[in-house]
Amino acid sequence: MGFRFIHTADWQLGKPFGQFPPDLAGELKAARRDVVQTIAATAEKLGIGDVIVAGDVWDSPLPARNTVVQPLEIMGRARSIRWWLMPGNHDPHQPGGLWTRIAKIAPPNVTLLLQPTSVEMRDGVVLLPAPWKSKAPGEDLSEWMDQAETSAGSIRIGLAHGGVKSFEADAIPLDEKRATKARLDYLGLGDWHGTLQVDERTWYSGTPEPDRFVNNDRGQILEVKVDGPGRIPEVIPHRTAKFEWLVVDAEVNAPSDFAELEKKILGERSGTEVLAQLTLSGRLSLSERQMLDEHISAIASRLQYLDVRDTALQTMATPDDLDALGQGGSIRHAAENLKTAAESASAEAEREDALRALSLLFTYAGTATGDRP
Amino acid sequence: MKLSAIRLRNIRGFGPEGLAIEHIPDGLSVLARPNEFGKSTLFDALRLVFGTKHSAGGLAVKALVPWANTGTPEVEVDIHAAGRTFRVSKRYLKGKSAQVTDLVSGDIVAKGSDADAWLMDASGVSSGTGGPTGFLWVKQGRSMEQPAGGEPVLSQLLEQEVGLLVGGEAARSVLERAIGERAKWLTGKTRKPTGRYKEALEARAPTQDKLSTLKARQIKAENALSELQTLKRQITKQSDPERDREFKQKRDQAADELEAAKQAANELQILEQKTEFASTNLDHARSTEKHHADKVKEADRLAIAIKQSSGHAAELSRSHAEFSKTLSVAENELIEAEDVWKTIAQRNRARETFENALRAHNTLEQLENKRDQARALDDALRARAKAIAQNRATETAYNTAADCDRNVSLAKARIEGGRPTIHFDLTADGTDSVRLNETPVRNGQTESLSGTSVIDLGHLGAITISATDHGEARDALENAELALQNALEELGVRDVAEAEAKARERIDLQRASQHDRQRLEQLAPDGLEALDQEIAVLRTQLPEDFDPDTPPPPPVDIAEAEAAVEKARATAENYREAHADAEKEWIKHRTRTSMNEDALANIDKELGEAEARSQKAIQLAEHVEANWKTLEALNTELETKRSALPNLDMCTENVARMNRAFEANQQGLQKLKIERARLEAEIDAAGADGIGEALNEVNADLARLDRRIGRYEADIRALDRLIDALSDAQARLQEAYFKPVTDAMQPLLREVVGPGTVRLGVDFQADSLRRGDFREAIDTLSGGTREQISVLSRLAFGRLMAQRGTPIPVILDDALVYCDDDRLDAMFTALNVAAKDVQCIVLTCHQRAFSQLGGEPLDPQRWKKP
Repeated sequence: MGFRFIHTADWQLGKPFGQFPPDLAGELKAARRDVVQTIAATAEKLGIGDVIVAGDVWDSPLPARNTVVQPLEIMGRARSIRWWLMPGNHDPHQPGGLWTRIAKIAPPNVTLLLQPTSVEMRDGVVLLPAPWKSKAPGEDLSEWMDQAETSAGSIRIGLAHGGVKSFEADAIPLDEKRATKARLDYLGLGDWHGTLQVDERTWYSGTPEPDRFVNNDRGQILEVKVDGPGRIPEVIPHRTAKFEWLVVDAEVNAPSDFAELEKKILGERSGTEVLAQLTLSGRLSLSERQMLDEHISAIASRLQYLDVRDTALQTMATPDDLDALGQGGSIRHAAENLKTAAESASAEAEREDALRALSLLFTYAGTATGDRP
Repeated sequence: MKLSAIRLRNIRGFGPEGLAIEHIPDGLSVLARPNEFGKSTLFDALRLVFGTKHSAGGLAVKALVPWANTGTPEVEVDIHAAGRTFRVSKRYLKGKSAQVTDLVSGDIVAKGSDADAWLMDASGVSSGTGGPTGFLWVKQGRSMEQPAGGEPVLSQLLEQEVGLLVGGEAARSVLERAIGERAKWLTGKTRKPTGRYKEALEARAPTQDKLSTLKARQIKAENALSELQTLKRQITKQSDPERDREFKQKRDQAADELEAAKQAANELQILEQKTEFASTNLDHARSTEKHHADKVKEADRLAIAIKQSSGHAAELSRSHAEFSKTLSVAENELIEAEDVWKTIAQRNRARETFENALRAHNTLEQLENKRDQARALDDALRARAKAIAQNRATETAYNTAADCDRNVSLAKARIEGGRPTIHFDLTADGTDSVRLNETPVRNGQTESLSGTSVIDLGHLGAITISATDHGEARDALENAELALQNALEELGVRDVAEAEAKARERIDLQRASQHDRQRLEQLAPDGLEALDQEIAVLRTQLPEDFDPDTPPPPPVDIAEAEAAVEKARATAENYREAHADAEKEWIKHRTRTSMNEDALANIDKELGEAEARSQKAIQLAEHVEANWKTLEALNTELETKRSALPNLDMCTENVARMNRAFEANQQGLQKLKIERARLEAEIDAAGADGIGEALNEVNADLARLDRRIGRYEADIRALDRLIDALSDAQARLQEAYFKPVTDAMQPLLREVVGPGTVRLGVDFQADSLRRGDFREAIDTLSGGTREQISVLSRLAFGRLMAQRGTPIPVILDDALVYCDDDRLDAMFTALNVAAKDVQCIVLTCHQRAFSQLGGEPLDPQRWKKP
């Protein structure tokens, strides 16, 4: 007897993307809703009838009405699929709260996993969920699975949300041996937004639509195939994300390094669905920095979004830079004063202000004379 | 560039014949012509050809067309530039054209717009600003204005001088750009946020408010969720059926205990009633026993008292009889003393009555006397009043008559005074022969004449004298006499003397009347009638038979009789009181004895004989003993039952508490359910509004706003730094920057205003003059000095440009009009000094004053075009 299903988690529907321009934030928010449709289409394409969601289906325990209704409608329309939704730390189940609302309007093919009790998904397949009922339960919610009795020969699938390592002093992590202790054939986890295999039976699926610049594997769902009780499951990732969130680190010390940036960021991709975070380091002159800025502007115009972090990139006015401003005159004097101020500044903010003023002077002087300094 | 000739036609006052000035020298030249010659037209034509493209057709060009519209406006200049001589010809409007010709080679250098561009390039003039001509050429009426408009050219010139390849104009441009960029975020002077920075700052507060509201709602919703869980647990607990069953069982048990307690309490109550009854019986028996014993004792006491009182009664009776006798004697003595007193008092009252009547009689006589006098006065007053009424010579009327009389006398005197008087001084012969109105006159006679008088002089003839007719005086006399007559008739007299006598008589009567009235008021202040009434009253007070002459009864002393009466009365009163006391004591004794006898009789009747009394005492003692035993038995039983009785209050309260608890539990459950519904509604509402999601979004909005604000503020800080750095650098370089100009100006300035330094501002305009330790703002200087500095600045700029190889002539149109004679001479010298380097063309209408200038006179001619 075998069983195939889709393991996904951390949809965090309704999540705002306030750090982005409003239009893009709207698109990113809509993408998280639309990924439900992508998951449905993927499952249908794979001939899979069950999708289990390991928590954090919604981003907030009090999401907007349309944020609740629209995904449920998408799930309802995918009639061939049974959706198994479990609350996580972002959307814990509290009586009278979000899940009570959902229970009233959920389509028949959606099952809410609100209690830590075994649920028979199909004949011989039992799901053991560990739903969150508060934001800080203070216990390993999956512990009950160890004692959960199921019919002999059943496939036991555990579903839990949280870290296997605790990053907070008062948080109790999930036992990373839970699959073994509870005799689970597969333990589907949520909370970690990248895809991660904990052991041969324990997996984090990651979020199906990325939401931040982190260099891990994300934007996919897992197809899980359990051939029978005690068998090692086969796990196959499938990409579902609309947007790609790139994290690029680059050291630039000369204009010759600039071309490499474009390759790293764009490659063969279509920039319209790429958001990138570029962290720069190195050392450039003012004129080189101006060239770099123009280069980056050109790249940024092709992307949905480009976040440039240049605190590690040193920009200093070289003698050539200053000479380009002339041998004398007020511009040269002002530039030298600003350079001195930047070099002698005791506070970082003061240094940045002086450098920025120098950069502006360099830009304006270039515009004023019509030449690049 | 230098001008060597200028020609123009069909511009304003210059028609087709036009005007041509040839052979303009390189140094100083002057065109001195009277007003209306057209010097300003010449000036404007120069600006037109240098500063306006030939294709231009604006109002400025059209304004140059003559009224008669004699043809196409045309200007031609010959210039030396770059070591060559060119002719620039421009025609405007209809037939527009432009051409530059090399006069040496005869080649056409440029045509059309190329010719415009060539000229602008050669002269440094740009369209719009006018280039150097804008400040080197002084238009009529603008000589006091400081040079303006040539900054770009001068900047370039001066930057080259101080070796700045990038600086001046570029620095200004950068500074303006930086200020402009900052102005996007901050206003100029007050540095108030503006633009998107302001929008972001203004958007922050409402976003923060929104965030706070949403946070509060979220907390409320979370609390509601938490409360809801607690509530649900409470409801479940309170709705537990097993708990209900246990509770009901306890309540029933308590009710049974209460019922048993009530039964026991009833029984105890009955026993208490019995005990109380027995106690009452014992009290009654004891009371009866005591009553019997008390009665026996009382009978014994009464018998002894009755026996003792019989002797005391006889003694009291004797004492009473003695007091009665003494009292009778004292009362008789009092009656006798009172009779004596009454006789004396009657005699004294008769004397008092007589004296009162005598006083009334005397008063009556006085009043009657007053009344008689008063009546006489009253009659006299009435008679005088009648006389006064008949006498019409009042003071006013008399004065009127007297005034009229004086007027008559005055009128007569006037007439009399107007008559001629003649005095005769006659000789002896004349004494007989001279006659006046046929009456002989004598020597020394004087006559007053009236009407016509004839003086007969005998054989010498006669003199007829006609006195002047005083018609006006006569009329006045007649009027006065008529008025006097009327006044006298009014008074009823014949003349003024009689009027005066009558007026005096009237005054006398009035004075007498006033005297009598005062007297009458003294005699009868309230009037005659009141006096009569007072007399009538007094008369009634006199006895009818009163005779004042009868002697009154003699007085008798009554004091002794009064003392005798008082003494007798006191004695009688003392005896009366002693008698009453004796009688009261006797009656009291008799009453007490009688009461004791009655009481003893009653007791004897109740108790019977002595033997019966003893037997009853024994019976009563036995009855008391029996009742006491009954009560003792009942008390013992009562104590036993009381100690066994359950606490009824406790049982009752226990049942009530159970009932209240049950009721409260039900109500509490109901309240919890209502609260649950409210919380569910609240949570539903929060969920429906998507509070959590909205909160996340607003949080994100706020973070975005803060990032925006942070970026703007970083920009502002950087721009501030940049602006400060540039401004500081400019200020420090300014002195060096302007040094060539001020150096060029210095010798000219010394020549005109003496030792001093002009400071130039960033706009190249002179902003102050320093002389010695004092710096004066240009605006505060006199018009003449300002004009001189203005012209000197231009000369300095012009010299500098010439020295740097880009000469442009300085043209002054009617400048130096505010100079005094000394300064004008100095300015002429300065012009001559400057003209060694730069071509200077002076246009003036002050021919005589400028004859001292020393420049080469220009000779305008008609333009004879080949």
